[in-house]
Amino acid sequence: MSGLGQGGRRALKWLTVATYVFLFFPVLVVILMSFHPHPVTSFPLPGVSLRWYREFLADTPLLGSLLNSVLVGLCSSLLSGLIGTLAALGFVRSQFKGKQLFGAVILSPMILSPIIIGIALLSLISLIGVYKSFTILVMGHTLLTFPYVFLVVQTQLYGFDRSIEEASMNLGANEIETFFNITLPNILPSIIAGMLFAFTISIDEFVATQCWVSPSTETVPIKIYSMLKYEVTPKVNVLGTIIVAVTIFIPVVAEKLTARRMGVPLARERKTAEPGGG
Amino acid sequence: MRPLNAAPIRSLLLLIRGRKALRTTLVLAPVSLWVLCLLFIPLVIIFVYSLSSRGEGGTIIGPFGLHNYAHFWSSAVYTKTVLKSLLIGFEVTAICLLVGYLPAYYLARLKTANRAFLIVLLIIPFWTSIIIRTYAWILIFGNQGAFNYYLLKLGLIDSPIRLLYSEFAVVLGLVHIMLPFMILPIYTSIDRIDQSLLDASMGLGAGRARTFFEVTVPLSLPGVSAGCLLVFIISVGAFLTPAMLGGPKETMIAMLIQQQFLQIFDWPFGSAAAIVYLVLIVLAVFLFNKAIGLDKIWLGSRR
Repeated sequence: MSGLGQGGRRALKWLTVATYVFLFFPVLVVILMSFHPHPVTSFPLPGVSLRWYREFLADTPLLGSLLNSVLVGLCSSLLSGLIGTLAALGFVRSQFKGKQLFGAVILSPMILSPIIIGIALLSLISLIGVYKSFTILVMGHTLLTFPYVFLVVQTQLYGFDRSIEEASMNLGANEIETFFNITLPNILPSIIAGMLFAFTISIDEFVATQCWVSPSTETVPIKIYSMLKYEVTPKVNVLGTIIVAVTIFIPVVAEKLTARRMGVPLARERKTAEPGGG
Repeated sequence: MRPLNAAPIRSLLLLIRGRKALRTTLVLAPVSLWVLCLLFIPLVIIFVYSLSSRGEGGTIIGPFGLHNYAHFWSSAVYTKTVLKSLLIGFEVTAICLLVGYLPAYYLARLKTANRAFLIVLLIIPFWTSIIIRTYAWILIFGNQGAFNYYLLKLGLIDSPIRLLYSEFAVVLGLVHIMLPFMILPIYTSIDRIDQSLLDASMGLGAGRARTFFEVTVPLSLPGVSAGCLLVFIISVGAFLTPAMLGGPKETMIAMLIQQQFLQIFDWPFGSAAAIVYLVLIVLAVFLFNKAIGLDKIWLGSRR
């Protein structure tokens, strides 16, 4: 801050504080309103009540959508973990023609707009005559989330000290034993972190998901969106608070696991570009 | 950890042992199949649909031709949607840059241990539920929202002012979501500026303001470009924010595609709109590349 005077520095500080307030204030409002005691929201909070949480717990369709979201998230993050990790291993550890292009192909589900991915898969299943189902939803969410696993695992693999693998081989272990005993345990934290990020994306995805859900597979964001259209109830605030809690808590755990900053795709790609950046 | 007891897995693993090419192929097969079958082939289907016509009950029939595209560009409703999307994308990008540059500068120049924590705080909104963060504005700016409530209470207005379902609300909602995408790349760029360059500038007699505008700002341009490109592309394709906070006038291109596919069931026309959108995005990246040079961004970020 050597380049600024006292006044300028203070102004800059308060501008930054204001930016953070702008980023977090709306979410706080939703959380606060979930404890509102009355059906019509008013300000400030007239009291704290768990009324809407109780009503939420008695609302079977809402709980059903939460269960659906969790199941879709679990299945797709497991599949993403497998596909993304294999892709990262193949990509980092071998050289082949058109590798750069292949990298772009792997990341394309993250770059393309979700509405395009949504209608594209919808067109495919209707063309081959498959109904929208839980399986389709999981396959779609896997498509949307495996690039996140790929990026996180790829970062760790680039910084991987391969001499420990060589040591294992020199001591008589074969490649397969080395992979399962040395490589996998070492990259496991980033695989889990990647899967947690995948779960977070899956649980909040709306735009592509709306093309793939059927009434029996509705997820939380789909439910929230239709609730806002037809029947506004404070239960939305409860569901919102739960989703916010999940989508804040899980990435924080994942960040801790990777022990480095991996927030936005760009930041992650850059990390990999630096020598020894893993 | 020895999960290698199953005989078939063992024989498969033995087969690929030491065969580099085969192993690479097998390891990359799942991801390739996934992207090919669930994304690239479907995109080809979308392209073919865009050349077809809509039959009874939303079926796809001939004749094939460019009529959907002709219809798209000859109708004011659709061209307006495209222009509106580009306009909102531009507004959001400009506001994010204006609002985000100085906080990014502040964070990059911060020397305390708080910095890592503040950066994590910037990353958290990236993951936090977009639908809830958008919905929050309804609680704040709706007719019964906090904002109107306090204005009424203070006697500044007689009846609630309508802030939602307007371009203002859409731009505000998008800026709120896109701001970290602008701040983080700029922060990275400024953070990488060599302190000795700033010292040299000051030492040679350039004042604080001159050093900021002639050294810091030019050296932060790679981050500015990356942030602008990211924010523009994502905002132009926004769906939830205009759908939840916008009125009929704020229909954007992603909403148009969604309506054609899920409400009107005119898939051929919806496909044409999707292809138009894809081409526009590629064109935007291409023009951006010509004007600023993506190479520069990548080189800049690698120093």
